[in-house]
Amino acid sequence: MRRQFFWLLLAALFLNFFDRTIGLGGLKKRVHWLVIPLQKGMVASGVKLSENVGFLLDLPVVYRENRRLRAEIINYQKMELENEELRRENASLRQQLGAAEAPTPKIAPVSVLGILQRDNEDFLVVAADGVRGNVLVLGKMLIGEMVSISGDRALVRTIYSPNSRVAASVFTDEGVVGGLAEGKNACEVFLTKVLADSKIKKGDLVVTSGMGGKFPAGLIIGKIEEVSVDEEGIYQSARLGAGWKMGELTTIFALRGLAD
Amino acid sequence: MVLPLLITTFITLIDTAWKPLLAVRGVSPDLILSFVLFLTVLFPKKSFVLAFWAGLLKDILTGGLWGVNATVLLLIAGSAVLIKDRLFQYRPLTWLVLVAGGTMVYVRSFPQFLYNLAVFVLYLTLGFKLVSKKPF
Repeated sequence: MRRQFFWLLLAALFLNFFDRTIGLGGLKKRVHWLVIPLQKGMVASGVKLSENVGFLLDLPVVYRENRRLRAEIINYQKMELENEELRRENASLRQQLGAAEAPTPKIAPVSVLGILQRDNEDFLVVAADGVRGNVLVLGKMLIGEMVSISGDRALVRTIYSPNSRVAASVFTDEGVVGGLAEGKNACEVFLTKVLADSKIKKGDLVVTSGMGGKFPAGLIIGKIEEVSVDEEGIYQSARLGAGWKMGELTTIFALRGLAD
Repeated sequence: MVLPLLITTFITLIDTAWKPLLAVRGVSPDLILSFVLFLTVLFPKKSFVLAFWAGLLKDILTGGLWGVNATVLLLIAGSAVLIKDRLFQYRPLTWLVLVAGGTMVYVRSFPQFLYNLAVFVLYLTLGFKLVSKKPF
């Protein structure tokens, strides 16, 4: 056994020495020509096997996800029923009070062409396509308002703009609190003019209040990230996370028939 | 000897071709090293030839210098047989020392040592069943 070991070791060392000094290029090429198809076959079968095993391992996860989604659908259906009831009640109350129906906003997609800096303010440049004086949103998130239009392009003042002021409401654990969402440094939004005794905290949702009529109520401005009290101690302010960045927008949506 | 050679060839092929597929958090087991150590425990007489063959095949399949892996695996197998003969053959500590030493020499990675140990135990369990011995 010992002899076998030494002979094999000698053979391995000799092979290594031979490959290092003289080289086994020709032989290696021929061997590779034989070995490569075998390796290709092994890799292909391995990938296939791994896919099948992965599929089997994913099954319980998919099953759980399916059950969760089914439960969610049932929940949404319940909510939809409740909403339908509220809508009906609302319509009947409106009828009794003789109030006009709120206009249903139409949504039109708008392409974002770029960012333009003018008078220390960053504007979004969008394709106008005939829309004017409208509120721009992304899903339920407020982006800003269209402020000027020239030809087929329009400028949008976003909520990040230092000149942007949006009447806002915060949903806290103790109720709804009013404030003002103001842009700062072209990339931040702050909630200001919130009374110091209001209990706002990190994670509270800030939406448009609808006051002033410029923006419809219920559009998301952001979530509170950090709360601070002003020096005078009368008001508190909060930095908001809006959930989108100016440079990342490609298509946003204009709510027509609101501000016109 | 034909069957062990075929099994060694198959394991070497799997090790070289399926390495990325067997990775857990970026760490792949060294199937060949664990197999060689397993051979030294159960089939010490055949372990040198098979270690040489596995190393040579690995050199060929990976396109490296011929003889490098053959030498290293042969030395590991030789050391393992030496250690095993001096310690008790079926003692878990012996296996731990074998795998730790082999991994230290061959790859020097602690996560891979654990992975190799798992594969080694798997080999042993299957191997002992094959030769109807009771390791545990």
